[in-house]
Amino acid sequence: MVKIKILGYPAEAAGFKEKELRIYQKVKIRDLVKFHKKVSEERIIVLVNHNPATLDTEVSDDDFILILPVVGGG
Amino acid sequence: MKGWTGKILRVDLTKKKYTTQTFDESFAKKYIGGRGFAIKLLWDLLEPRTDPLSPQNKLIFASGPLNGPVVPNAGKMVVAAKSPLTGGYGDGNLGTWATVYLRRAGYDAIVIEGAAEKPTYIYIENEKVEFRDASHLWGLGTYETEKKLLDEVGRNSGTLLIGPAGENLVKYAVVRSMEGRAGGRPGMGAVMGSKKLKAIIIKGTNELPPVAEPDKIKEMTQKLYEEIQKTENYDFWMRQGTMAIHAWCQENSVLPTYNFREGVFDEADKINGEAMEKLRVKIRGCPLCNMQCGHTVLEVDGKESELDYENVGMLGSNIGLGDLVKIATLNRMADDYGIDTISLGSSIAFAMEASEKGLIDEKIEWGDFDKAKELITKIVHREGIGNILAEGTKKAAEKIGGDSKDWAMQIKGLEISAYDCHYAPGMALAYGTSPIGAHHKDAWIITWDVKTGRDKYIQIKAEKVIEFQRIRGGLFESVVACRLPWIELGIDLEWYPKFLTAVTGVPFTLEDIYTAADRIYAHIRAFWVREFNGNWDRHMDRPPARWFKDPLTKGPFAGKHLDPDGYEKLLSMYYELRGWDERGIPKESTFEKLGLKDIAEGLKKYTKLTP
Repeated sequence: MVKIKILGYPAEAAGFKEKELRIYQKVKIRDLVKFHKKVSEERIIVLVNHNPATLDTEVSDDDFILILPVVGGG
Repeated sequence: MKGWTGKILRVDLTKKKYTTQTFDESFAKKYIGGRGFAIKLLWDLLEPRTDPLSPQNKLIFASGPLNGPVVPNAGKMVVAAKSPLTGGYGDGNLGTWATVYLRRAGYDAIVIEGAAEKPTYIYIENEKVEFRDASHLWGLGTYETEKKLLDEVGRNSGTLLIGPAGENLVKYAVVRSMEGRAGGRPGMGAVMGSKKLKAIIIKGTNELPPVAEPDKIKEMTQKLYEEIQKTENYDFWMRQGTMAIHAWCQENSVLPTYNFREGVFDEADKINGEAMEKLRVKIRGCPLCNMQCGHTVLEVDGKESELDYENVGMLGSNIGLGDLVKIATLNRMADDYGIDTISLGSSIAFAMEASEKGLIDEKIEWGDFDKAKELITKIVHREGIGNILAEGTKKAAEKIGGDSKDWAMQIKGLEISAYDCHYAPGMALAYGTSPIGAHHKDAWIITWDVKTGRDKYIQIKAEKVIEFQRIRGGLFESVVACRLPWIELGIDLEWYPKFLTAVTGVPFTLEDIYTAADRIYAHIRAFWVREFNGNWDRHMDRPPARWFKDPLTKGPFAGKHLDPDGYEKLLSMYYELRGWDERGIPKESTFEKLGLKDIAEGLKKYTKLTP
């Protein structure tokens, strides 16, 4: 299963915070996560298995996708 | 000269006299305001190596040219002095109407000198300055003090005041205003207390200094307020403010937990932004702000307590407490006593670890709410173990010994704020090189640690720290405005030189501001070296040993820790990019390039400068 976790306002734009999916072939993250409200790509961080990635990174089953807003600390 | 008043109020509490010092446009352009004015005044006016709690220390309140002419989120003021906690340069900023009233009274800054014989508050009404008895306020908490003062002087007043922590010279006492705003982590409240100065009241009813383009400022202000409200995450920000970072930090293993042993907390979900949303009763904030971030919840006794991420991080997971209402209680106590929640949380955690290791007699277990409350009272009143902890964790470690200096979580004497850096080397560098000791306000670059690789010790991280220091520590601390609209909401930085130009008539660019920022940084570093009598080396910029030798044991990054060689490499890159030598002291050529030849000459009395 591929696990997707999204934090902050991008989660609201995607309509979910966490999801697990079975995928049978490599697929780009942007095909798994659709934002229904504006989320600028330069304002998010995409990680696959905690490594830097982009929405165009292809993932396989068992990958962990984490999407975070860019933040600047308290 | 437009935009600046060109005047600094000098108040001598010993002699009960006041004078006005003037400055010209070349001074104003070179230092802009806020922190820039503060370091220049401290360097010039403070006798080198002065005891920070002696009457000779100078306490400075400095505004910037954007304070007053209704610029969005510019209701801020800088407070600075030689720090009793670190022995070096100390400052902080706080939201307060005092910044606007000060400029309407006709001044850009106040310098407080000397010390009163008995508790005093200073009353400033335009050109008039009075020294008023504050005996009836001495010993009162900040909430009651502010209420009584406003009853005495009327509502349309700017307030700057201290609580019992400042009176009792707790080394991390802060200055407070507006029942919730606080600033000056490195003991600015203790400096105020050492002068027997309970409060400053400012009533300014004059016109603000004339601005160059009043109509343009009005137009830009309206547009920027609208732009902020239209940003893509405005609604979410208004719901959680800085508390949104809590879940972010937990997910990325940077949430300070058990005195920075770990970066994840088992009970994080109980105290994060979502948990806060369910308890919130009010949103409060600074003047002139339309993205207020103070979320008020009710504490155990039903009193309001204004939370943000830092105090929840430090008084929650860092002391092992997973109950937001109880955290709110500790936070309310800290606010009422006028003590910094970050250093307080670190000091409580230090005591808990010391107790666990048998280095102190007191039994204080992780997450023990009642003991934490008791400890806060003891710190503020300097009783028993509290008297040791009131000195900060660096001094406390010297006192209790053992291996405690390795986990006294401070740099240069200032406690690290709420981000664990076992696996965030760029952020560790930001803490190491922060100009006041370990604080995040100048640079917060965990986003770039995450984006470029947590295990990387690469130049882009050193570059990012400097870029952030120029923006957050330079631009925002000198104009003086809130830094949060920029990264949090994505507001374009070009707004700020445009506002500065429209206010002052001086054609500022971002590059001009960054040059001023570099000047301010070099000047602050010179101040530290002077106050340490030239005994300065790169070890002053190193984080505590815990992050290097006690790996994380939980979460996705268990086993990770900072690499000592990697950190030194990053630090050298930082120095090279700044034009500082391998000791971390600006080179003579750097001082000259920044127009600080006189500072270099002054510094040569204390150390040999690298050409």
